[in-house]
Amino acid sequence: MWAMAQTDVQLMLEVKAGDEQSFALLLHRYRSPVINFLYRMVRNRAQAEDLAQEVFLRVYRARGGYEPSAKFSTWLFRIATNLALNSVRDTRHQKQEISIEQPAGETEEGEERPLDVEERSANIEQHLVEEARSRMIREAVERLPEKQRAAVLLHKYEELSYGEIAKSLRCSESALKSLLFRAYETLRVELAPLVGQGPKAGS
Amino acid sequence: MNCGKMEKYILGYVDGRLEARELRKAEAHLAGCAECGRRVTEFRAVSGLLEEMPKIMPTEGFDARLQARIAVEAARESWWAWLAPAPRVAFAAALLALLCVWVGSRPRDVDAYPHYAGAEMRAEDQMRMVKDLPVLEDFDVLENFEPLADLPPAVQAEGN
Ligand SMILES: [Zn+2]
Repeated sequence: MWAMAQTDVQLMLEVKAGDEQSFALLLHRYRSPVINFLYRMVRNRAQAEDLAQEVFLRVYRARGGYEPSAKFSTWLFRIATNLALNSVRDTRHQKQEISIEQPAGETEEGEERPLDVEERSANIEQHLVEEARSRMIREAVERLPEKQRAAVLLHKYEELSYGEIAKSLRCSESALKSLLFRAYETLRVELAPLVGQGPKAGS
Repeated sequence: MNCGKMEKYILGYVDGRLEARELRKAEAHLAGCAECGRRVTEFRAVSGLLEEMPKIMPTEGFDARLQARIAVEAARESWWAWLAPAPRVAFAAALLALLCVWVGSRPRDVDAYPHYAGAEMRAEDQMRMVKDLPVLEDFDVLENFEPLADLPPAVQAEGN
């Protein structure tokens, strides 16, 4: 009970003092946000997990020098953002070199599961609509330039302030606001068919 | 405020991150600008759409894999912490280890010092050995080397 109520900073200070259990708690708290952030950045699940491992390993290695001057999550996502941006840039260079382009709209995950032919037609229709919708959103985000994409993900999901996101991206707050504005401008055009529809039923 | 300036504030307006002063300015502009008003509506819709993005879960082995890497890291760190309070001592210890192998590999001395180990020496001795290392290349000096003299006298090897 008491342990669960501890702040990230308290936990990290205990990790610094040599407490492995506190590290496990931090890992449990942040592995999912970190993996999801990285997944949206690198668009490959296995690679996202590998990078997430690297993020936490770096946190562990750096524990001795940890100072609670910044929010723990800011520090964590700064590491994650650096690794993600480097990885995206490396991957792009590799792809250019061997000039193999993945067809647009395909992920190597094969996540678009084939439709079950047994499904009743109403379900199929509903399923297709939802699938098309969620795929459209995902692909629009994934097509954003990587820095804009990182800005959108950190801003939307990680509850970081503009200042904290700007630090992660190594840019000024003003530049961050421009990045976000351009990203949302792109998204509202690309998602125009959905933007008019209003929120999905139930949300 | 004009439409250009609104660019920096519009998303903050949508998700409520503006300070009171910024908020008043933004509201004043929005009251008279249909284009920015439309943008607010659409940004709000985009923000809602982003919440629909599905989340993935870590694969089953994720924690175990990471904990294993952490354990390796911890073991390596404690090894280094024990071995190397200072780089010079680490260097000395490495040279000492090499010396042990070298001495141990001399045919005449095989099995002569069965428990010869640097651990039995004090740090000062280790440092002196390192300082004296060039001289140690001379066999005669080595024979009379004080720390080695403290070791049990050589006995004839009785096989393994
Ligand atoms: Zn305007």
